[in-house]
Amino acid sequence: MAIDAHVRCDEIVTALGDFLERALGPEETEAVEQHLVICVGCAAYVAELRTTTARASSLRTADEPDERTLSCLRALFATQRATDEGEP
Amino acid sequence: MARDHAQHECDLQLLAALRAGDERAFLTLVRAQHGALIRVALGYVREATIAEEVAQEAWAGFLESLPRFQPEAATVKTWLFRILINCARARGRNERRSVPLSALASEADEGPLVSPERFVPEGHVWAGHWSSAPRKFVLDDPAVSREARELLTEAIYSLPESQREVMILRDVEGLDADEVCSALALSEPNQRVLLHRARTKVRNYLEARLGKEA
Repeated sequence: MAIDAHVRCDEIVTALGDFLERALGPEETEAVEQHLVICVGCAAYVAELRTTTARASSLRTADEPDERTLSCLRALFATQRATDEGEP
Repeated sequence: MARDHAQHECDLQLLAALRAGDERAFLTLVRAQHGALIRVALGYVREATIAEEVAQEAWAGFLESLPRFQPEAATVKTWLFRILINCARARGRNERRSVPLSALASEADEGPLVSPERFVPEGHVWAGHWSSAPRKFVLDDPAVSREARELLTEAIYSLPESQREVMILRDVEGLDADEVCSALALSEPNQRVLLHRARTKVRNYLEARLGKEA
């Protein structure tokens, strides 16, 4: 899709995937950026999209596996090691 | 690139340690990745106990495949996630994981990302522009924070499988685009499309439930 200075908001919404991933060409990128400066609706839409994306990372917790899990995995490792060493 | 070279060197060292039977190296990897494996598995199976089984199955598959693993073809991390996803998909088919929110669940969704009703219709001088501004929602407002977190989790885990996979790996677990493409055997353009569809659906879902008039 060609994006120029007369781009519509529905076209911007479709192009945002490539824009946010920096996959648009320089001219198209500039056209989107210019549109976001003048269009309150699209600017709000992009801001909320970015917030949603950033907030998703907060679902990642720092929980470490419990001792029971570690014990199972230690046994698994030892078993696999024994299997590998036993192979000709 | 410098980062790829450094990552490759780390992987070679880790691989050598694992193949030499270094349990500490293995447990370091487990502590770093087990939580992520569980969270990704929960995208395919309903229960945490089943997700734990899937993760352990993945570790077993990972260890069994170590003698054959080629670090030129993938990183240790993407290899591990690839195994996990294969295990989780197989278990998910057996579990027939339900998708509670039909609004997000359409896998064959080739339609517009935003309903055409949100834009001025064709024939008007402002055709294609917002007919009403997107409703703002604030995820960091303490008044809605817990609800927002629950809705965000609900939305992401209710996405169609292909979109869910990409968004969980990219936005929840923080893998970069190359890693996700490697883990899921996706092309770069395909990954971008799936990610954008996923993010848009989640954003729109949050707007519908938390949004206020701009």
